Amino acid sequence: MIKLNAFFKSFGPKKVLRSLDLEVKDGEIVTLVGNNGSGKTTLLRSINTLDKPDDYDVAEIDGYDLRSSPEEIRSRIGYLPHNPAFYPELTGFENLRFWLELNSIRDAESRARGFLAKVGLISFGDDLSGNYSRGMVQRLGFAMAISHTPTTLLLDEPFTGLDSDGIAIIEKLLTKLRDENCSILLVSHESPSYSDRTVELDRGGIS
Amino acid sequence: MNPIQVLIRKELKVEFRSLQGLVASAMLSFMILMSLRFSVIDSIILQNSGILWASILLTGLGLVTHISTRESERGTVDLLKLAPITRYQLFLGRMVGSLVLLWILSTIILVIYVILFGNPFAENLLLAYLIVLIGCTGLSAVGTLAASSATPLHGGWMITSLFAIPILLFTVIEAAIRSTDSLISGSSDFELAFMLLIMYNVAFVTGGAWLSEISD
Repeated sequence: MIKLNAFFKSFGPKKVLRSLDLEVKDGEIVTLVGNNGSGKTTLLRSINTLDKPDDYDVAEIDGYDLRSSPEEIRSRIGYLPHNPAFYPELTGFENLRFWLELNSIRDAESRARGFLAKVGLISFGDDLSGNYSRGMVQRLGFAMAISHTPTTLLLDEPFTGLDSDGIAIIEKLLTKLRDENCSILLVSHESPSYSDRTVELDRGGIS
Repeated sequence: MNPIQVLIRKELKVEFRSLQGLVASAMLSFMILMSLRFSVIDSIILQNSGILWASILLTGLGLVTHISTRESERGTVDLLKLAPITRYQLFLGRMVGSLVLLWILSTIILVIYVILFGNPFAENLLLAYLIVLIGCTGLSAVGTLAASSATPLHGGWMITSLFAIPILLFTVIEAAIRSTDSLISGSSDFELAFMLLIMYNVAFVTGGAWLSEISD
């Protein structure tokens, strides 16, 4: 569950998020829309602790405070950035196994293979990720975001570069994760049909 | 597996698959040593170990900066920061990963140095090698800390050198040069210089881990 109240974030003099309030319940998919530069990515990066918020009254993931429990927050969040980054010298499987091992997940090898199969990359798992197409990178990024069984998913335009098969696979996984009580905040230009709620980010706040 | 071990294994795998940093740094140190071999004619400079450490400092720092810059440029640094590990674990993992590569580089440099300049350490060569390996620890700690602060900035490579070289020069490198020089001259300074080298390394590694943790 994501709970933000009076959440502020600025870059120098530019105030990006101004007294933002947002709640995403367990088992809910919320789509966040907004113009370019409205602060959608900044919001996701502030929630996942990559950027530091300036101030807030409440900023919690599953009841854990953003500032006082950053490691706990990071273990509960799965994040898919707009441009997922991997080590091109490592295979898709090795990248995923590395991530799982960093998350102290047991059985990282079989789990990595399992998630590669889920996103339709199993036959490309032993190829270097540097040779992946944009859509394959996106699939691997999604596998990485969900592989450590997070309770909260933050997805920044998850369908970028995906073919129709890829979109179908990710949509199916998203609805399954919602059924398993995962809170999902999805940044997109359009609200998908299975989204429970759509909120718009405008001038640093939810309108 | 411990997250620090996971980070070290990843660093080695990434470097051994590309060999970009190691090969370039080894070539650069070969050129530095070659040019000094034919340009320096002062016999006192040639008899002491300053040339060896100048080469290790310049190319070693370049290697550590390259590793950090690569991580920033690719965006994989965000991947590391998203992992549920403490910042000091992240620092130690990156530092020790760089250190292992620095050990390989400094071994190559020492071999080239002995070939080009003869073996001034005589029967103390193994002890000199040990000092080189220990000296690399401080270099890796300061380099990793400076590079991770500076690489997000424009001209991060230069800024890393501007931060790290003055700090290292009058601490780790000076103590290391005194240690290896005393092996060459057989003076009684060795124990004091070696102790200083160990102390600087401990201070930089613990200080680096602490600064990484509080800077988050």
